[in-house]
Amino acid sequence: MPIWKSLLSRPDAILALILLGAVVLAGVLAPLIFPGGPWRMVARPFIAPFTDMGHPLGTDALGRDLAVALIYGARTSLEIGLVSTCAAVLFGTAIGGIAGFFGGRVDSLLMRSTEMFQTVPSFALAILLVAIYSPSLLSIMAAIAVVSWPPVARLARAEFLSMRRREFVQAALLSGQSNLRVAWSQILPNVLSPLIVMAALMISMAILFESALSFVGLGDPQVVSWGYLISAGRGVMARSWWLTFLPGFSIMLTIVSISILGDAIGDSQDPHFERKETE
Amino acid sequence: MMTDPILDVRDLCVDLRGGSRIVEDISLSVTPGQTVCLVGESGSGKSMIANAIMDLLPGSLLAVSRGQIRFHGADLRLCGHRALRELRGRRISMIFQDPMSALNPVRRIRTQFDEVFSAHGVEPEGGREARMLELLELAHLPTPRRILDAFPFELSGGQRQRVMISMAMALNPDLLIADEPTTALDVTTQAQILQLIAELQRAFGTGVLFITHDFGVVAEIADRVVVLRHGKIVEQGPLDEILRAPRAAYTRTLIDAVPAWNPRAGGLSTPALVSARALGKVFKGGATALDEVSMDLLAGETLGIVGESGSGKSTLAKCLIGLEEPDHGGIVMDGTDITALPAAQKRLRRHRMQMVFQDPTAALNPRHMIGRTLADVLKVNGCARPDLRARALALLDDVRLDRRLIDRFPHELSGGQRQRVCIARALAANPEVLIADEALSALDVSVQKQMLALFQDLKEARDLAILFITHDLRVAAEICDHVVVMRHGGVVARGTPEAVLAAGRHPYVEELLAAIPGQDWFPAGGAAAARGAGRCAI
Amino acid sequence: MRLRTVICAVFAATVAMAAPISAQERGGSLKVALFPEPPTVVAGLSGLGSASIVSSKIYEALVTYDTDLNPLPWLATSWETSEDGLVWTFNLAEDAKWHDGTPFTAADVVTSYQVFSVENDRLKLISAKIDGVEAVTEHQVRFILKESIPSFIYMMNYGNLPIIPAHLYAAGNFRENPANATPIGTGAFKVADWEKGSYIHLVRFEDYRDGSRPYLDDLYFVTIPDAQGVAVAFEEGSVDVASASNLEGFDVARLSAMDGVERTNHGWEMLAPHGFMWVNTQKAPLDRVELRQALNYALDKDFIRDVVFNGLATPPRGAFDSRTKFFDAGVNAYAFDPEKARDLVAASGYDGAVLKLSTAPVGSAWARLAEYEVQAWKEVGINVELDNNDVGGYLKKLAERSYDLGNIYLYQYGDPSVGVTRNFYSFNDVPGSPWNNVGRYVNPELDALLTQADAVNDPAERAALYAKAQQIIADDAVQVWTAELQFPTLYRSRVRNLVTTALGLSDSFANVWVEQ
Repeated sequence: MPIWKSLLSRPDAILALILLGAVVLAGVLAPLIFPGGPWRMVARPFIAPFTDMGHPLGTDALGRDLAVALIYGARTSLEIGLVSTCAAVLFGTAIGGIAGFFGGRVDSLLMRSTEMFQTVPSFALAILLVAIYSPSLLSIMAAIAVVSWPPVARLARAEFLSMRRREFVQAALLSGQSNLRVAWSQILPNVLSPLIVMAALMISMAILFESALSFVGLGDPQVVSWGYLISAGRGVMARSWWLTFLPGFSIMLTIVSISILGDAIGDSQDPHFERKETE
Repeated sequence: MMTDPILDVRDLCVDLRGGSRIVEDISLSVTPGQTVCLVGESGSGKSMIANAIMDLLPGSLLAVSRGQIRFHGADLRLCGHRALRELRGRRISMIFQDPMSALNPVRRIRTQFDEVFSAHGVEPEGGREARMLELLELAHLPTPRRILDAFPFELSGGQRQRVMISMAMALNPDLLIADEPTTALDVTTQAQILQLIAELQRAFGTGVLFITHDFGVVAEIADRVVVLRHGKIVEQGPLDEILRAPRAAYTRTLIDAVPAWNPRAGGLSTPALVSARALGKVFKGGATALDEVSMDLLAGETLGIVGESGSGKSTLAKCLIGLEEPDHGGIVMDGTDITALPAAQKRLRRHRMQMVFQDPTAALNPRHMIGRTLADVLKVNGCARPDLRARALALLDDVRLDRRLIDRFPHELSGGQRQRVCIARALAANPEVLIADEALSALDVSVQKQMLALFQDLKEARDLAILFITHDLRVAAEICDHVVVMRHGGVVARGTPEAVLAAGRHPYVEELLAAIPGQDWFPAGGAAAARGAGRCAI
Repeated sequence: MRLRTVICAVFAATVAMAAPISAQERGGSLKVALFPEPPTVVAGLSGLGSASIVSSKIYEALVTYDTDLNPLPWLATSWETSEDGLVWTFNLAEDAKWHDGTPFTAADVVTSYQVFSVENDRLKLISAKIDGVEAVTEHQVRFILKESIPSFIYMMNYGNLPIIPAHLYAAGNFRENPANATPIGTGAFKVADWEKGSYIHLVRFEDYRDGSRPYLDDLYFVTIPDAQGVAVAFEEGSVDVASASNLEGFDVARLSAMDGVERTNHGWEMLAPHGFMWVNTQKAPLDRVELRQALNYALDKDFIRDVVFNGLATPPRGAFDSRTKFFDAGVNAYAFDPEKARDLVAASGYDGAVLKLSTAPVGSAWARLAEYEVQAWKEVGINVELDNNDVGGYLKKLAERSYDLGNIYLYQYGDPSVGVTRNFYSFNDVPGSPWNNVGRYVNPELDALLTQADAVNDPAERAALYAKAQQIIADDAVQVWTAELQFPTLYRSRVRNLVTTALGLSDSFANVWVEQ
């Protein structure tokens, strides 16, 4: 596939792939490698990193292993990032697609509703939703999805709108294919690329959102997330700065990797298909 | 008379970076006051040569690998960027096919014109304003002051092209390179532009390198002809030599591709399949698209709708087929007025009329293989799953395409092949009517003949009625049973080709006929009839 | 008049006069760190500790107490009780005025009692034993009791009966009184402005008593929402006073070692913050005593002292704080024993149902405590999940009894009948308030014991009764006890007379001065 080729040709994309791969692997394998979970108090508190090989990244205020916490945090962040982004992309594409495809009053109605969501500051709305429905993984994912879908809808609408006028779409409609079929099999594959790029970047946003929610105390208290670690480490930052720094650093690495990959995918937009014959 | 050439290209080669040669051993020259036509089809490399001369090749992809480009003796390849920049616009100018993309859409004409002067630090005597107005008047633009204040989108295609030419001529260049400047224009506008270029050339002694694919245009304006194919010069020489005695077979093919003037006597009288009754449509903003248009498409006939841009011919086709809704009037099929039907019923009848669009590239889903595209249509029209592939292959046979193409993507096919696929897709729905909306305009001339033949065969094999929309009167005259001429949304003439296109029937038809280029060599209209059918010696 | 009363009055007067030791300087300002920001500074309107810290500068009570828990005069200059202990007469200060200029009289005490005998959960408990309050003269007020209340003088503390103006509160609903928008008290300071979320600014009340005090011009209570912020503010000098309740444990050690910083453990003798966990004893499976005992055995109180509270705590022994009167050290302290806990869990028939530990964001130590508790209980097989709330939501859950478990610390107020027994009386399980028998514990035997202990005059008898009560409460594991909290106060050396009473920062600052 041309996307893979493009990715593997860029050194920064390769690095990003490796990093992200490590994060994903850590998240997936966490319960297998550390079945006890991240909450267990395993040693004395405030062990510095790299001093005790049994706990390579040290321990926190209650003696919990920071490395284990980071790995479980990866799991949480990825879970939330992926699920909420999927939900937002699915919903946003559906709304935007319908608006762009049908145009007219349907378009106006859907876009005004979308704008309603967009005018509310997204983080404030997310906080509100999570606070109302009690913080839990589900409510956080739902809240993030709810505040993230409008840009997807706008993009999908623009893409569907422009595709709608293309001749091959008109030809498909003429040949008797139903609207749904045309939208699904003709238009959608052609608008997937920009949507995928957007989705990649939205995963970053979702991870940041979740971290911010955990930081203000609205995270799911049953799971360890990077945002929670930053918040917990804040209290003892004067004495053990690594408790806050390392989770923050993990967030940064993950998001930078995702951004690079998103860029690379965007660049790899195969002009082959769209290129006119050279004269 | 051998004056020193302005432009002298010797053994020019252009390569793809890291690969193949695109253009090989090009040698040509242009002397002052001379028009040299560079003729070729798509893929011949003619634009590439023009870009190479102006140093406009996309550097990351292409590069001049060999040869010299001498301008007044000095090799441009050896000039630095600054020197080249000074030459461009001032001594060598270029105009393009699509003036819309060459003009900045958010700046007024005046601003862009100003840039031409500013870029070269030229202050014409009497001031810039005066010079600009003078140039626009030379270009026969009616209200130059208003034009200067306008934005590009407020002007018509022809007006934009004239503005481009004015800007190109503003600094009295020695050489004007014109890359298919009239291909996108109406035939009447084209005639005016060609005339304008000729006028300016006479007035200023400019040398013109004119790129085109249309031998009719070549016959109209060229002093010398250079024929290109696959990046190599096939032959070159003075116009009459090339036209009278072409040496290469390819040249002969190109010349033959210009349809002979052969208006049909026509006149089928079968029952009407589809009729339009007083269709009217007004676009948002007040422009009239259709003005009480009525026509009948008889069963088994080829009906030509002829007109220029803005005549409403495409709108008519779209209304017939259901892509647009007329504001009033009726479309009758089998005795039922289908405009009055509810949407569901309309959809049922939809497959009876199919359309082939102008641009075959845009008309195919770039992410679907040919087989998939055909299968989608077959499926929706009732073909059973196991039969899909067989039926698709059969369709490819019908349009005379290699069966192996069924598993290819559109970008792997040539323009002509893509258009055939579009025809196959249209046929997959088993239509009774095939509407070809300028279906040949985007194709190479050599292909056009084959396509016309294909249409004819399909018509006979499947008993189709074809609605042929075109601006090319020669083509319409040759293949249509009836012709309808439209202008500004209304029908101005209808009848058999012989009747409509004969001399003196209608002033607008006369105008259209007169505008066809190259009539000294490729007669059209009454002149041809007067001289007897056929063309001057081949 | 009893001799004892005379001695008390003389003693009190001496102490009061002796209080200022060195030469006070008039002027200057004091900045005190405060968290959480109280919803109001009207006395008695909010039960939050931080509310009392501010309001005790604006309002006053009849008496305060020294570090040995002996009563000191405040708005009352002297007092005496009748032979049978049923009549308490208080002589009031004659030069006290309200901030709006109205003179303070006995009528204000009467009104205050009328309001708080209903509004204050602790005072409410004894109001049935009080026949009435009357103003004898302008500056003398009398309480007539139906039965003797041995802890009566402790019941008159600021937390139970702050004195509010009769001319504003005599009529109408206390909580909805529009006068609550502008606090008017007799205290040495009045409210100048309040920038919500930032600080509360009090200024000297020029007409305070004879006008010679307070010494401070301005008093700022600076709201800093997190412990690091308080530490930074204290370190760089933008606050002069910080209580360890607002600091991280290790910051306390670090900051008190700084030059020019003093530290005192005094000021908590009366309040004796006692950390424990409310257990909803009527909600299955917490209604099983074995499970409650298991909850207690599973916690390592030394770990809590060392790691969670950074050494600023003492492992508790039951419901009475060691600083409170009649504390009995012989009670079962539930020493850390996970094995025993597991056996008890099994014995209780616990089916693994998830219990919810409700929390509020009142500091990282409490967050860590909750996390530790969840882990410790997991080790013995009890499944607990955290349920995060904001402060208001948490208190609401306690009030509505819709919680399972919830960490808290409460003040004990010196005499157990004031602040401790109210947590266990079955009739005090009144939903709607988070400050009474939130645990819903019902034990008629205990009720009888406590009633008697609260009423009997003889201290020895009281001690025996309370000892028995403590034993019952401990054996029945009515609550889960976590720590006796210490909140040293850190302050700059140039601040004088800051903590001089048993109420510490929650007392009048009329005698506080700063070296300029």
